[in-house]
Amino acid sequence: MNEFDDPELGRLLGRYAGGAPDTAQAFPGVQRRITQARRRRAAAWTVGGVASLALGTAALAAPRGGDEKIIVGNIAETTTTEGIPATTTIVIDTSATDATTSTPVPPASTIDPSLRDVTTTAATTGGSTENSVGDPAGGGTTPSGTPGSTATTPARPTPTPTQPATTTPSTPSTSGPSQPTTTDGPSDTTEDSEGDEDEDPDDDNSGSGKDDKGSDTTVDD
Amino acid sequence: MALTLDEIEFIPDFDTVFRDHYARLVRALTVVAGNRDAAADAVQEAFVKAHLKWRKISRYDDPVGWIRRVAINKLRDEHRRAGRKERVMERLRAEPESSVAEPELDELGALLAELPRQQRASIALFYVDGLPVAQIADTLQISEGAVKFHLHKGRERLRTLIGGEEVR
Repeated sequence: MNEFDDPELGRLLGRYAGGAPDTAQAFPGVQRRITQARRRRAAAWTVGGVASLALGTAALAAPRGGDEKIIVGNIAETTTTEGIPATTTIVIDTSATDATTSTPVPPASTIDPSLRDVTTTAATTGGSTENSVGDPAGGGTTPSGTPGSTATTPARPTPTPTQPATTTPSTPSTSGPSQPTTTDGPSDTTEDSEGDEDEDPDDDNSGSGKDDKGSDTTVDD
Repeated sequence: MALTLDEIEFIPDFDTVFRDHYARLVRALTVVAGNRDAAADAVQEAFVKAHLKWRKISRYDDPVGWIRRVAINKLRDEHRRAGRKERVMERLRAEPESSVAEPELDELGALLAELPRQQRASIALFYVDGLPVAQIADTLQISEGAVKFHLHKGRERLRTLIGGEEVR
């Protein structure tokens, strides 16, 4: 016997609680609730799975995208470096502001003479021949040498078209002695330009500034 | 409440547990909730939760105890959710529902409604469900001393009604 045993109170409370509910009637209701709960749970799992998949794919894709960007950046840098040493930078040095047009993509062999021409002209005449040389290139170069050259190009295109062929052949002979220095200059500049292109992001805008600097140096020369 | 060998055998069977304990749980919780429908809803919800985890819960020492606790917690949560106004309305609604048009039961319902929740639960589990003090303490997650206190106080209050009847 327990100290709290109270049959009378128990009976009264039992009456208050009522008769036993119909279990057979309640069971289908419980089963229905169970099915609903399972559906809800399945839906939650599906949503969760889809969400996690999406997150996973996003997480996987994110680094790839970053790599690609990096690769692209590298490629772009390399291409520009390749292009720049051959043509643009040299032209820039010689032609000062005019050089931008000189970017012509043509092979290295062709470039060398033109460079010589340009350098000679730079040494001798300064701006005029440079303009002629730069102009033809300017038309073609826009794609490769764009950053530095394009800035300068817009003003030049008009004067150059006629001269390019003529000026280049004429100048090379005169510039013999001065060429080495200038050629060294361009090659150096190309190297420098490569180095500069490492700095490209900042210098791209200043590329025109470089051009200007280059022109200044050539003028000094 | 110790489990017999028979009980242990069919505890893993959800349907059997439901058939054997549903009515008992609903009756006890009706006293706690003051409302048969609310009690039945809470018990059914607890059984649904138990079914979803039945593999785990069927291995418990007292799966029915787990179901009982979940049902009581559900009632408690609902009470907490409800505002004071709503609680009063529930009581007013519950009184005529729970009684079988017997004035003494209406009075008992009113008295029960005035008891603190844990006192009411202790009384219901002890006098209706027939649980021992230790198991009530486990179900309500309070100490046995607290259960005894609640039983003592609750019975004292309810005794006024019974005494009145007796005096009658």
